[in-house]
Amino acid sequence: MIGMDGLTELLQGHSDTTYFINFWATWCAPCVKELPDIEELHREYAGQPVRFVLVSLDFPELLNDRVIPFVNNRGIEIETVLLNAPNENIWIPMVDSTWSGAIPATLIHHEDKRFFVEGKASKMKLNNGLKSVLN
Amino acid sequence: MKNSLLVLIAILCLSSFSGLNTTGGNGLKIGDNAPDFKLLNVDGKNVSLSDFKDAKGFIVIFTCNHCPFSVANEDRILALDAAYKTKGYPVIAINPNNPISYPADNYENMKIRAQEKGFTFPYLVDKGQKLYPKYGATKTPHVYVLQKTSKGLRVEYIGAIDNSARDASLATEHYVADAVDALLKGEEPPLRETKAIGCSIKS
Repeated sequence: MIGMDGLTELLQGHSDTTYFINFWATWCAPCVKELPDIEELHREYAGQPVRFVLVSLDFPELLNDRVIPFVNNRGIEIETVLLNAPNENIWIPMVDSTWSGAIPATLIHHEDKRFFVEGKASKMKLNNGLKSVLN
Repeated sequence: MKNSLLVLIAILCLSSFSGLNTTGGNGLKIGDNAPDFKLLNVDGKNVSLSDFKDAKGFIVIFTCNHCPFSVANEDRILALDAAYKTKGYPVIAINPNNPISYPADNYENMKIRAQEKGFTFPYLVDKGQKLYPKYGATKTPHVYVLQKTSKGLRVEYIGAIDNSARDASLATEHYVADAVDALLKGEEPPLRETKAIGCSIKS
C-alpha cells in the first residue's frame, strides 16, 4: 500500500532507471486483458534498467481479500502496489496533464522523456513507448 | 516585434489550454452549449432536458451499473439529487456503456439497479453510444453541470463529484455541490474542471 509519498517517488524516478507504471484494478476488464502483454514486456526487458510497477486502484479495504489473492493466483511477478490516496484532482494531473482519470493508463518515464497512454494499449504500442523512452 | 510577441503569447495560451482539456479533443468545454437529447429512461419513457420546464439547470452524470467507482458514488448521486432537485438542478444519469460487451450494463440490469437503490432521478440509456462522445465523457462517473440560459444549456462544470472516488468519508472537497451552490447564488463555480479516477467508457 502506498500513498502520495510513494506515488511521488515513482513519478520522480531515479536517473539510472526507466519507470513503467501501469494504473489498473482487479475488476477492470480492459486492465486485466492488458496484463499479459505487460508481463511479457517485463520478461523481455529483464536485465535492463526498467522498473515495472502495477499501481492498483482497487478499494483499499479489499487489499487482503482481493488484490493480494489476485496477484498470487495469477503468479504476477511484477512489483504491485495499491495506491491509497484521496485528492485525486491533485495526483491525477501529476501523473499526466492529459489523463482524465480513466483506467487503464500507463506512464513510462526516465528523466525528461515521457510516454503516456490512457485506455488499453497494444503490446506494440507499449513496447514502442518503452523504446522511445529508453533511447 | 510587439505584434509577433502577442501572437506567440496567444499561441502559448491556446496550447496550454488544450493541454488542460480533460475531455479529449472533441468534447464540451466550459462555456459551451450542451446538446439536449431524447433517451430512454428505466421507466420506459423517453426523457429530454427540455421536458424540465422549471429547471434552472442540470447535474448530468455519466455512470453505469458495473463500474465499482460508479457504485461507490451512487449514494452521493442520490444525495445530490435530494439536495438540488428542489432547488432547480435535478440529476440526470446516463449509462454510456455498450450493453453487448457489458451485459451488466444492459437495460434490464439498469432497471434492476435503479429499483434496488431507489434512484430518484432518470437513469437513461445512451442508445448507440452517440451522446457521450458529444459531451466528451471518457469515464464513469463523469459529471457535467449545466445552466439554462437564453442561449442554451451552458456548461458550467466538468469532472468529479468530490475529491475521493473510492471513499466518500475521505472527501474534503465537494466539487459538484460547490458548483451548484455557486450557480444558485448567481456566482461562478469555484472550480470549473476537476479529475477523478473512473472506469473507461466501454465501446
